This record gives sequence, structure tokens and C-alpha cells, in this order.
Amino acid sequence: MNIGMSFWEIVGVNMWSMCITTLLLLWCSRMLLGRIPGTGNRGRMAGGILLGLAMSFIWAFLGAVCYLKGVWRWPLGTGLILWEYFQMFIWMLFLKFLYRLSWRRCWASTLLAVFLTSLGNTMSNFLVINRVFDLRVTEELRHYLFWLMVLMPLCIFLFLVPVWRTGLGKLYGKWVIWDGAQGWLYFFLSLYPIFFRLLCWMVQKSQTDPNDNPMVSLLLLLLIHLALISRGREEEQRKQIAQQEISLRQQTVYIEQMEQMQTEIRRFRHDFKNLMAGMYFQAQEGELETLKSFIQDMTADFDRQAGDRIRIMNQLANVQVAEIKGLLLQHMTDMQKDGIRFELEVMRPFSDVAMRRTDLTRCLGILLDNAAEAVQGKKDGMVFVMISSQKDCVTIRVKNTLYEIVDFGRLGSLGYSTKGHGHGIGLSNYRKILEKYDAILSATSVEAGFFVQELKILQGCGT
Amino acid sequence: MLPVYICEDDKSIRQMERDYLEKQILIEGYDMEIVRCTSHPEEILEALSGNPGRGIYFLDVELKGESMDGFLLGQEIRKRDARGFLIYVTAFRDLAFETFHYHLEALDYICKQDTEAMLAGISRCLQIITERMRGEKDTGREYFTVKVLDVIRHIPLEDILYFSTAGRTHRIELHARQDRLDFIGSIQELEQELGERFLRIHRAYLVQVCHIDQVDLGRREVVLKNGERCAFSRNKRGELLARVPFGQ
Repeated sequence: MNIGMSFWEIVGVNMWSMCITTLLLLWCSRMLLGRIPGTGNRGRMAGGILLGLAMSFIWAFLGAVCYLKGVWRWPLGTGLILWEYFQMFIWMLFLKFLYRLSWRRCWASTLLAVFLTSLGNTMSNFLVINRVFDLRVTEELRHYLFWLMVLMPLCIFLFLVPVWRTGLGKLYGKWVIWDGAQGWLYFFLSLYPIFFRLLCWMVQKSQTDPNDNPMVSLLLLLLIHLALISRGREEEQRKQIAQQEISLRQQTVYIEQMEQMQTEIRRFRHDFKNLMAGMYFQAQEGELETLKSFIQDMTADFDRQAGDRIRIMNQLANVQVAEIKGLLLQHMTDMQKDGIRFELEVMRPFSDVAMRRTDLTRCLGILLDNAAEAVQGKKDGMVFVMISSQKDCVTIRVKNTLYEIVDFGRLGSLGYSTKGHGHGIGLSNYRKILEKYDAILSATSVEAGFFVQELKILQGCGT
Repeated sequence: MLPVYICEDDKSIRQMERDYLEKQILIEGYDMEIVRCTSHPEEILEALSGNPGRGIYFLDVELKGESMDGFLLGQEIRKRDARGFLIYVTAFRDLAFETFHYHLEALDYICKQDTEAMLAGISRCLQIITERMRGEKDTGREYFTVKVLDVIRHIPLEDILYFSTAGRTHRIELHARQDRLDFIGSIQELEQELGERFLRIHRAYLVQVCHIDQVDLGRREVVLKNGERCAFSRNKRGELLARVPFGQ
């Protein structure tokens, strides 16, 4: 057909709008996933830009081919629907490359991003209602291109701004990262391009005013919005409740510890009176040496009885990450019950590090479990934890008394454990978590009869 | 002769430490001398820069009213004297000694609440130091020294099986007999630094030749003495077979 533009001119125009679409989609994904991909990783960022350009070019080129071959005019808009799915598929691959998330999340955020931009796109149709461009006329072509290259992106942009400002995007994002989302919702969203065309077609077929198209999409928006919002809220609440439960449990343990401490002190106070009476007697008799050793014994006794607990509680107060504090408290109580000596050193306040809290909690949990298990039921077993925050890095060390020879050759391989079959899954999980972080250095060693596991987390460096 | 430094903010304790140390050095004939006894950490650092070398330091942890505490002073001393002996004297029974030991390689800590125990602790430390210095002369062990962020580790070179690197990061894994640790570095530089004893059998592996037990030509892997396996590159095959005496 003759439209007064050469093939490459069409590709050029397409390239422009595809680049803009890519940018807008990127913005949507940033909104949904809450972060800019590849920060701190220049290679991936450069790769992303190149890939984005290549992707835009492929879209532009294929779009022009399809346009000229008349694919857009296939009955029932099948060409357009297929094209839309094709774009979505490519976009998902692109997101996968950028964010390295699971396929499910990439697809979910693709769906939402495409959905949001296509709504913005529909808005721009308002501006050209009842307008049929005759592209063979230069004037008309110019108007069309102005609409396509300037007005449409602007409309999408203006549509996305409130979504962004009101935090709606974030709420939608909750759904994207929600693993419990039900299949039917995906299915429904995945069918969006088909629904959209189908409804448009139905509206037009029923001889209604074609002006209703935006209404149809608004209705859809409302529906999906409601579904997503309720899901997002639910998810938010579920998380909050879980968090509250953890902190409640921690507080209970904490109060229990305090009460035990109080009982001990009360008991000690009782003994103290008797001891004082004895001391008074010794002083009267002039037995200075006996008195001295008596006082020393008493101090040591107090240290042993109540001092240990107070000391650990003081250290624990320096841990400012609630999850970690809870984890340590939990293990401390468990080990005390099992008669395992547990020591903790947190010399300086320990707050957030360049590692996701969930990952850190899991890693430390694995190390503590292993340490506790290794000394379980053994004589004089002890577990020692040190968390040391220094200027550039945080060091976490967990060490336990060693009773067996460790086979370093097989350490961390699946299923290896000094405790025999069925154990050792922890350490391989631990390795797997750490592989994600470039700024974390781990170490395992045997030192003076202790097995030591160590994590060093470099500060001031994103992951 | 080993210089001895004392930094303690309590005057009477400082005097007591000094007198006792002087007495011990005289009685036991230790080759040591007290060169500075003060409450100001800066003075210790100043004296140290005028007299660099290995020393013995008795440091208080809490230094009230001074510009730095015992931990920071220890860090400053370590920058100037990596092999010195740090002993902490504290009123705190619950000193975070593990942390001090880890970051500063502190030798011991002594509790000053009980005078007799404190003095006994001091003489025990002097004994340990003398023994350690004697022991050091005998062992001609070579060490691989590596900085892991804020600490320095020494691994006996003979115990190292291999180094490996994971992809594009600069993180290198050291695999030794009883150690496995990550550090930041470059495997090329390691290869040059370590020389003949180690062979770069693969882009990702630098192996100590004497720890290779077998060469599995079929699977293109070397089997180390502890059973671990590392892949080798095809073009390294010849060199590998020439270097490993009982290959196959």
C-alpha cells in the first residue's frame, strides 16, 4: 500500500516510539519491583542498555514488516493480539536479564507494566476520537506522526505519574512479589490483550458509539485494580501479623529471661545475708585471710549465677536487627535448656548490613543450628558467637567445640555432615545464599579445638 | 631487647604494674625493658614511631577522658607493630575478649579487680611471650599471608590445596587442609606470586602440585589428596602430566 513513507522511514518512526515504550515500561517495572536493576554492576547496566536498544530495534523492524504485510488487519485483531503477546514475551526475557528474578515474577511484572502503559495508551486515543488519518496526505501524516511520537508518549507518561505518586505502583508491586498469588489471577491478567480486543470488537459490533472504548478499559482497570488492591492489602497485613508474632515471641522469651534473672538475684540476696553474718563473725575473730578468700568466692559465685545472664543480655542489647536478636535469643534459651554453654559478644551496635535481612537470618540460623547440633549431648560443649561491626565491614563468627575431624574436602557438598546421613543440607543452602552476594566473604576453619564459621560483610556497597 | 609499654589511667595500678614488671624482668632475666608508662595513648604511639619494632603492650581497656579507648589504641599499635604482643588489663570481667583477639590478635586479658590474680596474669604473659619467641625461631614454615578486609590471615603454605575463583568477581576461595576462606584478589597475580609450587590447571583453578593425587584423564579432572576434584583445561594436560610424577 502507498502511504508516502519508505520502509526504513517506518522503521525509524517505530524505533522512536519503541524506545519510548521501553523507557516507560522500564519505569513501570522500577515502580513495581521497587529498584533500579544492576546498580553497582556496570557490566549488567551496559548490557541492559544495549539489549534495550536491540530489543527496540527488533520491535521496530518487525512492526514495520507486519504493518506492511497487513498483519494488523487480520480479523478479530488476532494480528494485534499475537503481536502484543510477542512483545510481552520479549519484555519478560529482558526483565529476566535485568532483575534475575524468577520467571513467575518477571511475567507478573511484565503483565502489569504492559497493562499500565496500554491504559495510558488508551487515554491518548481520547485526543483523536473520530479522527481517521489519511496517511497518503502529507498534512495528515504529519498530524498522525505528531500524535504517535509526542502526544501518545506524553499521555502515557501523564497517566503513569499519578500511579507513581499515589504509591499505587508499589501496591501493585506487592502482588508481583507475592508468591501465594493464585493462578486464576495470572490467567485473567494474561488474557488481558485478548479481552481488550474482544470487548472493543463487541462494542463496535453492537453499533454502539465507538467512544465507549475508553469506558471499557476504565471498567477493566477498576476491576483489576480492586482485585489487586485487596490482594496487596491482604499480603501486607499477613506480613505485619507475622512480624508482630515474631516480636511478641521475642518479648515473651525476653521477659522469661528477666524473670529468671530476678529469681536468681532474689535467691542470691537471701544467701547474701547469711554470708554477711559469716563474714562479720570472721572479721570479729580477726581471720583476715579466710575473709579475703571468702569475699573472692562470693564475687565469683555471683558472677557465675547471675553475671552470665546479665552479660549476655547486655551484649544482646547491641543487636539492633530485630530478626537477628530474636534468633540469638531463641538459640540462647534452647542451648541453656540443653546445658550447652552459649557466649555472645557484640561489642558495638550492630544494625543493618548490605545483605537482605531474610538471607542474613537464614544464614546465621543455619550456622547456629549446626553449632548447637555439633555439641549437643557432648561434655563441656560450647557455642560462641561474635558480631563485630567495624568501620568497613561486619564480621560474624560462630564457633563451637570440635569433637570430630572435619573433612574439608566434602564440606558444603550436599549431604555431607559430621553428624551422618540426613544432615548437611544446611551448609549447602548457606553456600547457595552467599553465592548471590559479591560483597560477602565466608570462611571456615579449625582453630584450637574449635570449628569456626565466619562471614564478613563489606559495608557501603550494594548487592 | 623487647620494649614494654604500659597505658593505664589509674595511677596506683599503673605504678603497681610497673614495679611488678621491673621486678619480674630482673628476677627472670627477661630481655625486656619498660620504655613508656603513661595514661595517654598518644604517648605510646609517639614512643612507638620513634622506636619501631616488636614490643609488649599492657593496655587498659577503658582509658577515661582520653582520646581513644584500648581497642582503638590496639588498632593503631597494630598498624605500626604487626607482630607485637597486646595484653589487656581491665576492670571489666566481661570483656569482649573474642573480639579483641579476633581483630587485634590480643595475647591475653587480665582482670585487675583482684591484685594477686592480676600480678600472676602479668608473669604468665611474660612466660608465654618468651616461649613463643623461642618457638618461632625453630619453625621454618612458610606462610601465605592474605588480607581479608580488615584482618590478616596466615595460612601455612604447605597446607594449601588450591585456589579457585568464581566467574567474573574478584572473590577467590582458598582451600586448605583445615581452612576454607574467601578473599578479594586476582588469580593471575597469585599465580605469579606463588611461583613453581602451584600450577594453573584451569582458568578457575590454581593447584599446589604436591597435593595432586591422581589425574583423571577421562573426566579431565585432577583428584587431590583429600578427595576433592578440580577440572583442568585441555591445553594444560601435557604440563600437568609432566609435573605430576605418578599421574594417571
